[in-house]
Amino acid sequence: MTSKNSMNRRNFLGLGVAGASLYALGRPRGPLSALDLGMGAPLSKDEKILVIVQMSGGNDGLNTLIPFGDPEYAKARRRIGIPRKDVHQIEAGMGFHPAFKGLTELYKAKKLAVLQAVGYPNPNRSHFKSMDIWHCADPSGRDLRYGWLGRALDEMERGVDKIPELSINFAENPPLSLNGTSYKPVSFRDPNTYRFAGSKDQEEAFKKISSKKGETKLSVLDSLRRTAVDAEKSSLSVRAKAKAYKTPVRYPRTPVASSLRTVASLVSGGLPTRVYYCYHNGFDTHAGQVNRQRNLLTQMDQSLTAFQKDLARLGLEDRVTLMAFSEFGRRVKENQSQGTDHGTAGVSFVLGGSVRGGLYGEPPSLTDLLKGGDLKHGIDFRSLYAELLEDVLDVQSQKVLRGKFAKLGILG
Amino acid sequence: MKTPALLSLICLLAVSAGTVRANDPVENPLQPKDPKSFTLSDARHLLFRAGFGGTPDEVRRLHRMGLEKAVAWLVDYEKSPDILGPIEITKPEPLDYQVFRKKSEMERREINNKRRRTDQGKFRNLRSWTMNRILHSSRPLEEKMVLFWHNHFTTSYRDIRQAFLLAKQDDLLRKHATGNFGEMLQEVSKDPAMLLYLNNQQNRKGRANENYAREVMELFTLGLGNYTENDIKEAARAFTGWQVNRRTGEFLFNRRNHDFGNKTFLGKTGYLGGEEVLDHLLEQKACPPYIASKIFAWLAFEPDDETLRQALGKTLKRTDYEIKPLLRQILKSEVFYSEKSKGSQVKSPLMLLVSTFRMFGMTPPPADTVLAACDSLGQALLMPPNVKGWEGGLNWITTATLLQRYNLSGYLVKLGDQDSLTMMSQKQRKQFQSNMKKIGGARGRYLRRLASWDSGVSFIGMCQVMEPGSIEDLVDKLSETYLFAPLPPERRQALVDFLAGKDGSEALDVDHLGTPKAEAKIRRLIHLLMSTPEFQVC
Repeated sequence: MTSKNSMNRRNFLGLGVAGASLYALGRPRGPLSALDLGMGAPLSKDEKILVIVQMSGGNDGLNTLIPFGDPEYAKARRRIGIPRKDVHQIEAGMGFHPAFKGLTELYKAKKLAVLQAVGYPNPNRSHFKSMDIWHCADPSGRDLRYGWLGRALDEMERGVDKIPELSINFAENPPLSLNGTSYKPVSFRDPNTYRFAGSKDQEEAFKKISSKKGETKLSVLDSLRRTAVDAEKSSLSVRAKAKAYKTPVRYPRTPVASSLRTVASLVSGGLPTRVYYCYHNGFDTHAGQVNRQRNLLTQMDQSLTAFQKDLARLGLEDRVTLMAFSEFGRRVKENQSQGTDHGTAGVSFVLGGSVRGGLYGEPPSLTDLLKGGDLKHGIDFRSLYAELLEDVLDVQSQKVLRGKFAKLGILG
Repeated sequence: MKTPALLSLICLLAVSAGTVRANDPVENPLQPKDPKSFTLSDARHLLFRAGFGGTPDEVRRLHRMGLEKAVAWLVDYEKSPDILGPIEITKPEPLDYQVFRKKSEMERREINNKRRRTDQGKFRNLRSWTMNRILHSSRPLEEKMVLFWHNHFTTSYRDIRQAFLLAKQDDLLRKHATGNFGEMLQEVSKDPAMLLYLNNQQNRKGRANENYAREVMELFTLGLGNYTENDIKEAARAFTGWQVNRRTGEFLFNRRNHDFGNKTFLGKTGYLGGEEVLDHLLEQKACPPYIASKIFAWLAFEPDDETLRQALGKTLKRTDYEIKPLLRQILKSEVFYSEKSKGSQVKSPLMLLVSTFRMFGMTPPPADTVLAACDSLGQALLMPPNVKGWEGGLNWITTATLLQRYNLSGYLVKLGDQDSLTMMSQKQRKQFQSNMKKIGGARGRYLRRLASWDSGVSFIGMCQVMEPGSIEDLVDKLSETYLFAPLPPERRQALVDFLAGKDGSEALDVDHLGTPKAEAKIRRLIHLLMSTPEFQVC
């Protein structure tokens, strides 16, 4: 299955289906002229962009989207429950954590979709395993080699000129979700350190030694050379765009905010990137949850709000969709350390100008629980993925997700 | 009955056909290499694959030994001195639960934190010891194989949180590293670190935990596709009650939790305990080629044809899982030294660092600095990402880690020390220092530690012994000595142009290499040589 856009490009290249598959085998690169500044073919107006924010550690969904109308909530959360008076009410009996000031406004403006009780069957309570399951869209946990986005990116670059920056990951090592069978993302933590550090006379030579020339029989070396070209080119283009970017919007000084600021700079700079992967870490609140989660959610609120404001200013908010998720929610009943332990279903967010804002899914029961005292899931996270794949990335979801999942109607 | 006679005739024919074929290199994928054809390049390949590399002098020494003796020196490493000796990591202080239970939650948390910090300190010592062995050992194949088994029978400190159990496991893997795989498998299956890592502690009669049963087949002995889900269930029952005594940290067979019922496992029915299951696994057809091919891939390349896999398996089977004969056969085979093998491995972060120290004859930096550099490049020793271990190969390489490797190389050749800096033009220096400042943020702390390290190496001296006749000659000799893949012409030219000062910077005069200016320029050249895709393979 190929995406609509890659079909267009393929037609543009004048290749039939047979020609296209041969073309894919050779994995040729675009003409150098188009890549001079490290840029592939510029993004066309109808190509949308997906930004993922991974809230690592297991965010406590019940203290993020608070079911204050349910008397069971206050019973389960005697010490760490959010007082009703502090909650930003969004629907009857439901409201956001007090830290979500900006996001409450975005919810009211119908730009933020909130998904409750998102999870999967037979939930795994290990951080690593559950994260892998989300990354690979495989609740059985059997096949954890390739990620859902990696598989989508495999499809997206099939038969078209390879673009190194098709996805950008804000960490040194890629998450499993971006691992495709052939596709590998551009990775860096910070555009400033993403560079070859040498003296002036070395830089000229470095450019030449990172050229793609030099055929060999050894495929390992060929792949290495491709990555070397990707690294050299993308480090220049990314740094140039990020450095030149000026915005009146104030982003907080946190890793996730600086990633999102870089995303805004690269999108406005016209980089052909379709997927950006950002991290907001530290949600494993076994103890002393109240302060810790408040800080993390405040950072998240301010970062996402700034990002959305920046995109709106640039006239790009309709093209960019942000999705935030965590590998699991936490146990309904608080523990003895004023924290919560690993749980199951949690809350996910989708933000953007193309989003039909609102509350999705049914509120989870706080009494009809799984063994161990955890929430039963309502929305399968793969339904959310199906929607993002089809409506943002233009990739048929069935093949990527190895099954048909009904969309939720978040993106129209 | 005529059949036996007929059969023996067929056998006779098959045997004679076999002897004829044995001399045909196409038919015997492990054809021994003619010792007379053992070249300097072969010796280098051997030293970098069966060990962590060495200086050109060390390569020459190995070459002079000849193939037979060189392989014997590597494989029979017990004859070489064990420079560093063992490490002793003590058990955690016993915790008096009667007292502990009565404490308040705050106090209990405090006690736990303190115990955790103490153990992390021990773990740091263990990691440094492991790294020091790799850096300084005179038994390179021992360390190479211990690392292999660590990545085969994976466990991680992240899950075990007891340094002494990891030290104990290192003992076990070291003892059997080139011994007998069958014995190692039996002992590993009772190893406390392994039992905890793969949740066998929770594997009880009637409440089976299948984790160990699954992985012992999928990863440790057979590989996917050689057993059924039902075999996993039955094997899990056999391992019930194999536990760790939390107090002593020793293996414990807990009869109360063990399932003494009959099981049917891979075609065998009856009472089967864990030992019988493991023995039965070793008898499976799939086991010898699986293990032997994995060892071959570690040393040579991923064996992609079935004949080679089966030939490797046959050796292991014939010797009843003795590892040394297999190692000798691999290291003395034609195919190990083939074009397909040479230069085909991506250096792991550890290999990149250690082989650089070894090939340039550097005094390595302190172990914790090397460990931090490896961590940052994605290889945290004794903390692999998951039960499959490091996948290695191209998985080490991302755009970020590639540039990190290049930048780290600049520090390894001491690009930023005072001598080099004063020899740069002001413009060069400015650019360089601003770049260095940017990459040396919080995540680049290990880089700053490298800045104060003395490698004791003179690159000038290194070049002088090569007696280069020209700039081109110097570039060629350096790449021939320190690269494992040929430098494509454009890239070679770029380095020549760099030395010739084509960009307007000063040129190198090969007839006057003894100047500080020349040293600084040559360091920058070596840094560029290391900042190539070709330098990332061996």
